[in-house]
Amino acid sequence: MVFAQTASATFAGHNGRIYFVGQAFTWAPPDQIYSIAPDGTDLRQLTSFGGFHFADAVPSPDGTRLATTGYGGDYIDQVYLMNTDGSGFTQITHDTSATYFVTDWSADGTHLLALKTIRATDASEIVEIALDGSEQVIASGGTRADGGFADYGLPQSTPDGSIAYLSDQGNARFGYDIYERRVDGTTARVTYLGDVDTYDFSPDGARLVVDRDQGTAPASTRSGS
Amino acid sequence: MNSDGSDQTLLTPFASNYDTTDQLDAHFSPDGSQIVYYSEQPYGNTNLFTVTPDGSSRTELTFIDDPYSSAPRAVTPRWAVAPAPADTTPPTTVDDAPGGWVNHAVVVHLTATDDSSGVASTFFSVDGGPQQTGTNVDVPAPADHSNDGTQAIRYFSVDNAGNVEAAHTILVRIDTTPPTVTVAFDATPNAAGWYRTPLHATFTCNDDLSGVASCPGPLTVGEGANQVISGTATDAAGNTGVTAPVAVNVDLTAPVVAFSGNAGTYTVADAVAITCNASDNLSGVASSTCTSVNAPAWTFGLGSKTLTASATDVAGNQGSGSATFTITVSISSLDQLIGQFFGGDAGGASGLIAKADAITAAPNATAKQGKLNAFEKQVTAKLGKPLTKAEADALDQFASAL
Repeated sequence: MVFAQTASATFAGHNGRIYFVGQAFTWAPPDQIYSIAPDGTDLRQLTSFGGFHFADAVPSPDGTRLATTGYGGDYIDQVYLMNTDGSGFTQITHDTSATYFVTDWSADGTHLLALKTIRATDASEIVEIALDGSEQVIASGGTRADGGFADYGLPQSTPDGSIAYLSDQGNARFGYDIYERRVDGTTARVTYLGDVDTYDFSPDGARLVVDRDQGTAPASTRSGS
Repeated sequence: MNSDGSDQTLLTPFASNYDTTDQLDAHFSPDGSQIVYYSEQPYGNTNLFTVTPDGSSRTELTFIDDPYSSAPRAVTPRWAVAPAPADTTPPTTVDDAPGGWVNHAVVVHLTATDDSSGVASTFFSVDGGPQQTGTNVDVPAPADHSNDGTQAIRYFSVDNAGNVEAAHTILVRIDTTPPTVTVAFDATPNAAGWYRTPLHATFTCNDDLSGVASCPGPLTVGEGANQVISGTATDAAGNTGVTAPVAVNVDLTAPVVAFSGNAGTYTVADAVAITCNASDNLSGVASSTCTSVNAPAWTFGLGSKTLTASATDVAGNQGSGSATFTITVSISSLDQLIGQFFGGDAGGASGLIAKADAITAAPNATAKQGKLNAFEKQVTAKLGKPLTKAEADALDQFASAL
């Protein structure tokens, strides 16, 4: 498919630092947030929270803040915000009946997109979370090919204003494809690959990079237009 | 790629020890020129890599080949946009206030720009009043002129980094009051409201706020009735003031005294009928000595006679006129006059006519004098029968002139 470039497409600008979660065997505490310059230099550890585990670190559109997923002693992942220097750590979600995995910001930096999993039922849904913690459901429900409840994952803001996400509805379990909830409220299936692990749109919306898990072959990073 | 999975480019077709397992969580760089991902290694480590979108160039960012290394196992990389550099420059605000005086309400638009962090707020105050937030400054201009004058607007903006712009002060000048303009003349009219010389008008203009931009120049008013004199002044704000209209009457032309019906020469038997008329086409005749004549020619006596008259118009201009005529006598006209004097008494007239004819028929001066004496005795004899004394004297005079 061709991802049309629209007037609302965002061009984030110059490349900044890369943020990631470091999982050290011998480190304590583990699973902290780091950043590194794009050339591999200037490695920095941003957090050092004992007993707290981070899952990811998603930079805000203006590059000044990070949305993160993490858990402490309760092992319940919630969403947090911090500045890119590690300061200003603030918890955003407080619903302990569910776990969250934040994956993106809205283009204007006012909302977060996350996967929410209800702990009691293991049902997943895509939610949009305002920075005050209020949220609304973007996608939920649906069934897989085997009749089970569909799973969801990795919501992202797309350059044309839609919200993309993964779902295995209609496929085998965990056989994910990309879907979009468009600005007009309709939902459309974008890919028919059945094995998308992760994906990302290029800043101009013209290209797509996906990680596929193709059976026994190693998953590979692919891009296309 | 297409949604059916075609048109794919494999970005990581590597077969080294570091690429034999999963490559995961790929994300574009903000400028789209590279993709970052992490790759699981045979020893269980995970490293970060960047690769160009066409797969032609790959860079390993965190090289780890020792599972017990103190270097981190890197997962879930995300590439941030470079934050905007620190903003230490205050915003810049400009206005579109009119440069001079205006006679209407003004909305001054304040336009603030900040190339870095962006404009947070623009503040303004008017004439030292309370500080307000906004970009439109209303300066009213009510019809009661209550807001006339100079309004000082002070404004500045603050950017999102907290930089405060040095305040600007501009002046908005409102003048809704028209200028005054008056007219003065170099003469005063007569009691009837007329001038009889050219009139010079001068205008005086004044405006206390924006000042006079234009004022009418002096005028010379020529002849005419009910000439409306008016002038318009304009001030620097565009207001106009007009004089109260003044109607003036100017008459530079004297009245005309004309005599009509003058035949020029009359015999003593003729009647003289000359009409005198005084006229003035503009202000009109105020007074006149004009008298018409309608009388027997003999009553004027013989010789050249002149009638004169004068007139004054309402504006005070004076004019005059005259008519000259001559009274003559001949034997025939004398005979006719005698007949007129005697009316229906043809017998009485015939004797006197005969005596007159004898005068002209006398062969010499001595004889003529004798005939004249005879005529005069006859005239005297006719006094009261029917000649009046004036008629008798006239006949004697006329006979002597034959």
